[in-house]
Amino acid sequence: MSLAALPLWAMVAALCGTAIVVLLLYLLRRTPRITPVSNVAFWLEAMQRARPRVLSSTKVPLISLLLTLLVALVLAGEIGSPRFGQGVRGTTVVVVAAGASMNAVSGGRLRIDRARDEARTWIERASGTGEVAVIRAGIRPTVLSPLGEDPQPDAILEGLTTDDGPADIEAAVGLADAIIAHRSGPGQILVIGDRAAEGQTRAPMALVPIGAIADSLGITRLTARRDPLAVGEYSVHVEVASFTSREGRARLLVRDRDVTIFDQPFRLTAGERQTFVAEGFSSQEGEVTASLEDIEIAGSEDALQTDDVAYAVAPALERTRVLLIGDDSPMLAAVLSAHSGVELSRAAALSESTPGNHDVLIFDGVDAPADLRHPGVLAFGAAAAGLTLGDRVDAPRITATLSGHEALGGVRLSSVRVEGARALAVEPSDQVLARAGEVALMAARERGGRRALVFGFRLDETDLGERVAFPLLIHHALRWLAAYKTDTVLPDAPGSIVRVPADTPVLDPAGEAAEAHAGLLFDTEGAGIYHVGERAIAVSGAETAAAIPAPLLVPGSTSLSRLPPLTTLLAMFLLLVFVLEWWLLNRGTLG
Amino acid sequence: MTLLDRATRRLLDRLRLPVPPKATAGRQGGHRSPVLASGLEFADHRHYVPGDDFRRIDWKAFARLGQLTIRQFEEERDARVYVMVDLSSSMLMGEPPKVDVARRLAAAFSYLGMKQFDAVHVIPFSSDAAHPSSTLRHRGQFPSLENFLGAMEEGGETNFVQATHTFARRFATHGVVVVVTDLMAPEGWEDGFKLLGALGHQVHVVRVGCKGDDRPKLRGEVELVDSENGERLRLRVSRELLKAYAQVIREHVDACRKAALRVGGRFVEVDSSLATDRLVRAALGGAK
Repeated sequence: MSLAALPLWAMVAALCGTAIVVLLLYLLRRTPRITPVSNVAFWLEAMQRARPRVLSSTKVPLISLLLTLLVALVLAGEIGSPRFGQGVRGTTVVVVAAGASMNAVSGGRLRIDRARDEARTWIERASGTGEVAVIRAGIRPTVLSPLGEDPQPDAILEGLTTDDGPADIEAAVGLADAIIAHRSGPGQILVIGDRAAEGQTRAPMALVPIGAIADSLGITRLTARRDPLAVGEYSVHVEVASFTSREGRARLLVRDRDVTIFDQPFRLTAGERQTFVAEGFSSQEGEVTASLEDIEIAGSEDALQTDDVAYAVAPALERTRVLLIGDDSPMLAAVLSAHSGVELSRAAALSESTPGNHDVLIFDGVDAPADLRHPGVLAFGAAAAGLTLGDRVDAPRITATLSGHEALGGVRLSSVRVEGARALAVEPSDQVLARAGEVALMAARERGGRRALVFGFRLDETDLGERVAFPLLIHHALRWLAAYKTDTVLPDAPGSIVRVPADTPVLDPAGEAAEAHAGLLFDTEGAGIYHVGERAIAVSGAETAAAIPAPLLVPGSTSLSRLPPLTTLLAMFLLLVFVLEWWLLNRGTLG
Repeated sequence: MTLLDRATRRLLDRLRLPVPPKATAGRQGGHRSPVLASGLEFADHRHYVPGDDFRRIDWKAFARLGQLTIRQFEEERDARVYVMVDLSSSMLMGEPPKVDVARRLAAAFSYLGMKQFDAVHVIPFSSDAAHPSSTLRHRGQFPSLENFLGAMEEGGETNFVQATHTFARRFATHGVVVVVTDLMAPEGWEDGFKLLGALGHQVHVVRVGCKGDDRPKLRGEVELVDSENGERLRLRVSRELLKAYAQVIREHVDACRKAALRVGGRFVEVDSSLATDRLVRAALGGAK
């Protein structure tokens, strides 16, 4: 029985009715029976003799009345809350949580397995008295069984699997609320999972709590990034955390595909976090998998395996296509040739090649055409991108260097000797990277998405090319001119939407073909490394790894369990009150 | 109306109402009296004094002792049996009603008296004792006794003091006073017994009790109505109250018992639920 479908006024009326009934029962109990006796004088004397106890006969009925009234009102209120499968007719939407935390093990069983059992029970109960819909609350809510269909619990729950990210219970409950709102008559939402949804819903919501608080060690962060100082190499940063109040230990294993690149045991105290850095791995494209092996927690066990694995991708080493035009300085040519990330082309004049096929154009002693519109231009002793050369300066001494500029990457030019140079005519928006007094010897310009770096001297007029830092200077200059955004590609969270170019095959982590819709891949709820054409994309739930909580009840929801309903307990308590009252007033009879 | 069945009468034929000598009356009867006169039972010798009947001089003793002595005999006299029956409204309580038991007991005591050729008077009382029966002397008058007992009307409040005063004014001759009552009035009993004792009566109190009076089974909220005066009392019956009530009743009955014993009387308690034969046996018992 439930009063959940009643409007507020009816509920208030029910409470008032309950109170009236309790009062009537009290008055009925207190209505005296007319009993003739031989002589009341003896009873009067007996009353004077009977010593009052702590709970005297006059107080007992009053206390009993108050207790009865209180319990009866709570009982009525409790009946008014959603009680599924106990006679309610109407629409029931069952929301089954399917987030990563539902993979936790409690009492030897996965939470999701317990949720399946509970869902089966409640679907069968609720379908007997009304319509039932089932929603899977994963990263995105999914309707497993819509209203209007005869729900087959086994068929519905067969495909119920968990995602590797947190469940969006609120979205699923919102969907359930919207479904119920479009139906006439009473309805209720039943959440089967480890927490209820926050926020208010129009329909009453109840939680069937699944699981209990558990211990876990997990990977909370994994990144792989290219080393800006070592071309072709990448480093891996792994953060592991203890989600337990006990000491734990495990072995951190990092693999690039099938090659183990890091293997280290570690120990974590309660709540501790540790970060591990592994460097110096060379690969055209790194597909990194970090996992925790041989996990041991003192007096417990690791309850969640989902957070024991994380994925990351070291971005592919992209080659910079460079066109060298001009004097063909041997040092510059040697540096460019030796750079593993440079694909070098040479031309005596710009007209001999197609500028659009190159990322960076280098003019060595040859002025760039005034109408050249190229996104990356490097010029030594030549005008380019509007930066013109002015008067000649003999043996200028570099007095200031803007080494913090991205094009220099920390390289200082103050000790570089220059035999002769021409002053650069810079504009206020330009950045002067090196100057000799008031004379600009090196300037960077960035306008309209085009970048230019112009030196006021040729390489044969300076010892810069002989310096140890020259290759680094060229490396940074090329990176800035090619406009590299970043070398670190963070893993996507499970459920992220991935853009897929047209006619590009997509493989999921298991190597199965995945289908993109309108150039978008939605099915990324499982963690792992996806392949979109030649590109690898890591999907990892490490960022959302957290402690495994006990089922959380939020305000506005009630809890359901297989334990005796609260109404039963209250009814038993009510009975106890009556028995206690009777016992206090009639402790035995006179023999 | 038959108050005593044949079996009870046969039982009564074998029993005897004990009448102490001091309670005998003036007529010749079947009870030993304290008077030494012309009876059949030899009692003693005494010196002759002028005026004695010389026919009672023991000549053999004169020949032997040389003194005139008189032979004395106990004179057997009859007794007066007064049966006071409580007819107040409280006697209507009980299952069966106490008044029915009282009628049977009154009939039994009267039967015993009539069997012994004593003068029996049945005196119903409640607030007074205004309408006693005529004197009954032999068993042939038992039907009229039954009619009298059957015609008695119950009702009114108990006032034993008033009843005994009325009784004392009307019946000067001492005898055996059997009081059949439930004692369910808090006062007056001790004074009444004292008065009866002072008048030379042998008091025999038969208290007719019932479960409703002694061990009431009341529960919860009750409104008690006094059967005699209609007074009402509302109360919640608890075990403590029941205990206290039982103690009050016990103390009251004990006080009445002591008052009866103090004047040399007897006191017995019978339960209204007893069968007639056991009832009679119990009523005739009692410690002195």
